Amino acid sequence: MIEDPPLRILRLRLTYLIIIILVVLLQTLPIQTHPYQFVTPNLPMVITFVWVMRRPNLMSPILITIAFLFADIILQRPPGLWTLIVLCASMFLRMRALSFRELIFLYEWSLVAIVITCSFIVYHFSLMFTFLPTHDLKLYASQALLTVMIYPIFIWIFRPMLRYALSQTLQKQTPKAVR
Amino acid sequence: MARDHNTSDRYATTLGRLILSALIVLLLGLFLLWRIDSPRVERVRMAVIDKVIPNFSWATSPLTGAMNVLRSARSYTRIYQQNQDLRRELQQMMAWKEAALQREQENARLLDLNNVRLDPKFTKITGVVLADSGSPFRQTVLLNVGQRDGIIDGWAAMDGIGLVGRIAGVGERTSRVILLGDTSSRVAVKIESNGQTALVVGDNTSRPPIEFLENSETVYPGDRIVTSGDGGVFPSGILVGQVTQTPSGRLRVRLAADMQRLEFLRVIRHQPREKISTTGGLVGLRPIKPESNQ
Repeated sequence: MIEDPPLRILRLRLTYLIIIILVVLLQTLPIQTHPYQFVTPNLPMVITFVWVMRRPNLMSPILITIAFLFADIILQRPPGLWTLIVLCASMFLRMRALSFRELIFLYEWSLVAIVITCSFIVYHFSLMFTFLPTHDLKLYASQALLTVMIYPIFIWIFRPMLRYALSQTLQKQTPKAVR
Repeated sequence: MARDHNTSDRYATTLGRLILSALIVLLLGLFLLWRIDSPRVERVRMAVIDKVIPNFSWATSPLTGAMNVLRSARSYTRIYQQNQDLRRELQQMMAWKEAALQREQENARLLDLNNVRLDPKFTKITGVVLADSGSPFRQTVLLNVGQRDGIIDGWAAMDGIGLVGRIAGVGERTSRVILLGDTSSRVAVKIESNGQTALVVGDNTSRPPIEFLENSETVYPGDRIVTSGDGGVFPSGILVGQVTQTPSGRLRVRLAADMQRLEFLRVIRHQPREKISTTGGLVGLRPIKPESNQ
């Protein structure tokens, strides 16, 4: 098991935060003020899951909470609820991330798909149980489906960033490993 | 050494578990607090948005500008057809202009006859749209005017033509407008042709349905809908849109405002009418003058 130097961890965590904040703020651009004809995938969630599956050691619960609480506040969602769901889901994934490292990608994808679907279902029903206005399941279902479909793309996008970090730490670590 | 590492690892996992459970309790508490005492938490949310969004506008304005350029560029491709359309429209407009001028003269004459004084409170503040809700489930926009400019919760926002929504949430420099299509938007309206009142209830579509109509048989597609001013939240008589009918027979509103492109919104400065709390004195009974007491 390779341990990252603390500075690198800090830098990658900051990168994650900046990516999430940028994605959220770009979503609020007043380009589309008409009601959406189609739903968009939930990008912050899928980015988080990619990072959790690829670099479980980076994703501390505090980091995820900060990122998603910010998204909740900006995107007019009930504050805390979606954060709580994503936090629990990503901790669930983080526990299993290392064991899925050796398996083929299809297993990992199906696990993530199940977790994403469950998150949306839990969100829908917790809105219902607290008597908040919610939307029809069809909209959530299509959003969950899109989010699942986009997961491999983000794995591919973030692969160089996450792998590059790992290889560099390997080179840095080799002289110390002799000790 | 190995044991040392092990214990520190165990400490780390215990600490991690502690932090995780604390976070879960915190988030659950925040959600429940919001559910119970929503206005206070919403005020905090508005304060955060107030800090973040205007500072981000340096990045958004070139992007939105580029998008608008792109959109206009797309219309160049069918410029001939557009030109023909515009010419035809212009002809119609000339006719309308003539009619409008006549109406204006007539109106001026009638106003003169009636000695009507228009309400001076109907002034407006124009704001630029900074951001939208960013989610497919909400229909709100953020304006760059706020408490600093004297905006008050509940005022109506319109684009040049029709009602767009109303202010819900005011920060120091920004304010949020809930659009008519949002699921939490309810506006009291009047069908202009026969004076029936109804509610326009947002349901996350571009054509919100008309609910609570007393007699829907006498309402026809094409009738104009204006705000009724019931409840004292909105001034009455702001154009909302026209009635349309879906194939299933449901009545909906085609909004007069151009919801595709909201760039500038006018917030109508409207003070609710003063309440008359005393029942009038008896006719002929003079009120006691203060001089007589001294």
